[in-house]
Amino acid sequence: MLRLTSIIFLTFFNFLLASAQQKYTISGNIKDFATGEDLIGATVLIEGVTHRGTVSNSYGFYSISLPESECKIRFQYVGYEPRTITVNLTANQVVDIELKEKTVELGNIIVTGERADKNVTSVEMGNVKLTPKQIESIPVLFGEHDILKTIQLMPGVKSAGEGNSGFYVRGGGIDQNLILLDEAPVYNASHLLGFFSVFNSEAIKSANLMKGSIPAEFGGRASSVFDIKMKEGNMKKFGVTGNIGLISSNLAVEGPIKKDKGSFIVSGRRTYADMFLVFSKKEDIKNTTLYFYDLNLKSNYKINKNNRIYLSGYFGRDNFGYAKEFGFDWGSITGTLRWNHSFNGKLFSNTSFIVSNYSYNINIFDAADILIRSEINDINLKQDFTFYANAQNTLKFGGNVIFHNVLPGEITVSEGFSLESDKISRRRAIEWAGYISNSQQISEQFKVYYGLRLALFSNVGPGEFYEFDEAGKLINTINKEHFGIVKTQGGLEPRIGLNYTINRKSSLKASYNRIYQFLHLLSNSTTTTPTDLWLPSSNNVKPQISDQISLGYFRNFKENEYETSLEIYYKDLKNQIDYKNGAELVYNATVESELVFGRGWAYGAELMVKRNFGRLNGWVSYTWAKTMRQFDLINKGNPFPARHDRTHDLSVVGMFDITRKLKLSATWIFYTGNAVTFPSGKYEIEGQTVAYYTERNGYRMPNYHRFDLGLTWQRKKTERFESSWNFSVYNVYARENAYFIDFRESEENPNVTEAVQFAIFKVIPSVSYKFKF
Amino acid sequence: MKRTKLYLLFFAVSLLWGCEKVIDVDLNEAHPTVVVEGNLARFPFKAEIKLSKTGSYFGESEIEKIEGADVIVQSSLDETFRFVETEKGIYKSDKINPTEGVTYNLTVHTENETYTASSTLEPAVLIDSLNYYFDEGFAYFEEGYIVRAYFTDPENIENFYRIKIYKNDTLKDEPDNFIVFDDRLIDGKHIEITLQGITFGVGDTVSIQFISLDKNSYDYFNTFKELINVNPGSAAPANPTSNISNGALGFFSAWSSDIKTVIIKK
Repeated sequence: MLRLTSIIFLTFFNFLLASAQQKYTISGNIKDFATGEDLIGATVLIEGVTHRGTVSNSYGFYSISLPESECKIRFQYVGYEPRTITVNLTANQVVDIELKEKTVELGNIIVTGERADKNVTSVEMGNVKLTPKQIESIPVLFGEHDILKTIQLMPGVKSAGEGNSGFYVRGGGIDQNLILLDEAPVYNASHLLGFFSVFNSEAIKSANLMKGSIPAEFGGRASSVFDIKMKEGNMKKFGVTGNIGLISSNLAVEGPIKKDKGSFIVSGRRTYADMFLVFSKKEDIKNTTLYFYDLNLKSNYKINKNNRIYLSGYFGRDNFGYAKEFGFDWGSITGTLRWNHSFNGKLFSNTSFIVSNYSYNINIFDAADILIRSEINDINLKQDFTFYANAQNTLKFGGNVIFHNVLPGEITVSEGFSLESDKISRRRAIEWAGYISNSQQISEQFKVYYGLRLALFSNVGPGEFYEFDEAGKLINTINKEHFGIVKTQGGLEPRIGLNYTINRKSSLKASYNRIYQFLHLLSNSTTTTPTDLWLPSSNNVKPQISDQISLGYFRNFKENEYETSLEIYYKDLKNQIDYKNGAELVYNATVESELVFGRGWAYGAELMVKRNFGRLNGWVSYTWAKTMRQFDLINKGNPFPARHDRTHDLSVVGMFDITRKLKLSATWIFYTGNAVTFPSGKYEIEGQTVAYYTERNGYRMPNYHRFDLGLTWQRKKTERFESSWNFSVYNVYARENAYFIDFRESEENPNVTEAVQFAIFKVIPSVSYKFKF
Repeated sequence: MKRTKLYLLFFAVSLLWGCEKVIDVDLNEAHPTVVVEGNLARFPFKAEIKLSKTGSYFGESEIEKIEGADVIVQSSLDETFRFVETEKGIYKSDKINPTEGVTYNLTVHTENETYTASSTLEPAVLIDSLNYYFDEGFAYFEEGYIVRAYFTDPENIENFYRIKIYKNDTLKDEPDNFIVFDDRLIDGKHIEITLQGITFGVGDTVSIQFISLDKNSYDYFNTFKELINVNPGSAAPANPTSNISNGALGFFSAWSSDIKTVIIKK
């Protein structure tokens, strides 16, 4: 560790020396000409000089320092007309640039918003970026475009199951993904038992999944960061976008608060899935309500050329109820207030105040009114600085403090009933982090990224803390006062990335990360459920630690028309969590005593071939992987495959322009069945025949495969009105993919046990209509 | 129980599209393992050890019983009882007098292997009373009479309970009616238990057996309950936590109980 720190100091000196020469800074914002939306990741190049350039950050801000001269600067963003300006540099300057979107021509669909060769030249690896265009063009279940399902088509990302929005990244668990919506962590990203994600694709501007090299400004989850940004709203004119589908509809309204100064967007979505229930013959199902809604809000205002504020919020809730007797609702609320400030064009600052909440309520109106409630609440203060030191070095540093407050469970009973109200002590903790990193262009061919993050987690009062003996028996309860610290854990996290550019077409990359995770999701089922509980690390629960190394070879062909990459990774996971036999995870104050701890490791290879342009474009992604777990108290201490250990995982995504107005898309997915535990024998006891298990996850579900088709039909496209139809067919050849396999007595012969496979979705067609004015 | 039904409702929704089919699954044949079902009860008296083996999962033949084993129970009062095989694989003793507070050690010797277990007979906790009320039911809950039992948990000691419900002298043995719990949240309190999962009609005779277990047998029955209630979509199932040594399955439990009966009237 010491050595690494000294390297960082040495490089500091390095660029300080380099910047002693007289230089001026050009900075500003890069925006879309039509809407005024910031363009994230647009490139700024100094003409005639190779490897002198920069990329706009997530607020569209760029900054570059150059010696006194007259120079030509080229701004480009794929899908937009490039612009070149001439600047006579004699002082620091602010240059805001607006780029015009290219008129899309037949056979020239743009798949990414990246610089064409960015995959080769950047230090980043194991990164996947998605844009709304990509999400929209892929065929989907029930016509609901979903960012979390689109990301599952990428290498190294595995679906949590049929139609599920949960995902696993490189052998990590579902809770090891940090899902950020405008910087706010989303604790439960799924609606309706995971069949839909909370992200309304109409409100999303961009999404970036980091599974390999994770920059030092991110931390807190062991496997990946999925950074999702909401649209900011049109700065130039008012507009309405809507989408009417079979099970849900959404509507977005956007416009300027003051032209070119500020804008807003409000976007809502509501499902009417429960209307299907009316067709049910069962009276009970008819009386059921089952729906969810989402509301996304965002506005921003440019106070002056150096200051800008953003306010964004998300509210979403699922509602499930039966007549007036039972109600169950769950959902998230997030809010982010941000202030961007540019100091002299060279130092960019962002200050964020973030709140995030997830809660569920169960209401039973029986003899008494009973309310069961649980929630997690975060208050987060974050400060980030980017220092554009010179053309070779970009420094980032900052820190954040998160105050976590978890209510594991509370039961409120109306008066005059024999049951008593009860409450499990809140669990409070403070998560602290500070980081510093630098991206450095060492030579024309060699680029490095190095960073260090210090992540700490302190359990604080007020609240009850427990001590257990080795058998898991409660021996002591500590009552801590306000802000009394019970335990602090954590450590240093090095983050390193290297890029060796062999030529403009190919490069070799390597990265290493360490990440601590302090919050753990307790879930005893194969998919996430609304009642899953987030448990903070404590005196009884150590933080999870992941160490990952990855290597990659990136090569583009035919002027970046084809992108290919091969990445391999090895990930080591410490302090993984599983449960004792018979563990009660719901409403249990001493749930920590029900946990067992072990380790995990995962390795694999990911291959991606992508065609960016042409009448037929799309990608093929293939992952070969192994994911193992080992717990002393499970499976006799022998290592066993994790449930999501899938050897092969293949996605083929194709998009084809039939005519200028008719676009066909298709996906084919294949993966090895999940590892499962099946019985290897049976016996009789207590008058019952029960299954005898010999090993954990020793069997496999049948292989999964599915073919989906989609057709987008552009009806009208004028300046004032646009409309299109989208038709999708999910699972075209009606493959019955096993959702689970149940063993039970045969209905014909009770002496015979048979295996019954349950499949959820056969062919599901859907249609939706989209309009914009 | 309500939770299980809630999930059933979710599944019912997906059933609108779902489909089932019987498939072939190739299962390994586990090496036959010894299964012990040992009960030693003070009230009503029972001293019975059943010995059998695991069989092939899809096999249709009857479960293999273990004959000719040596079955011995030794008490902490230094008494030794040799159990006699009265039926194939069933060993009994009529000399033993299960006593509260005494620990019993079981030794089974068969096919050159020895299996041991130990269990302590905890004092019975009595049912104070039973009553019932009419519930109109909703959704998946049927209408009918629901029985409530009242008892007082002894203060400052760990207690582990199991409840058996008999409807007209027949044990209700559906997984839903397998009830075990401890006094972690109710220590020393006067408790009302509403037996939500099961409804009765007018004229039914309902008997409630309230069993006091020791920690070992509670751990077994608690994990056994989980196994028989496992939802097909839940995480990895596992064998119940046995108190028998040497890798045998099953349990050896000394217990006592109290029984109260009520006849449902309008």
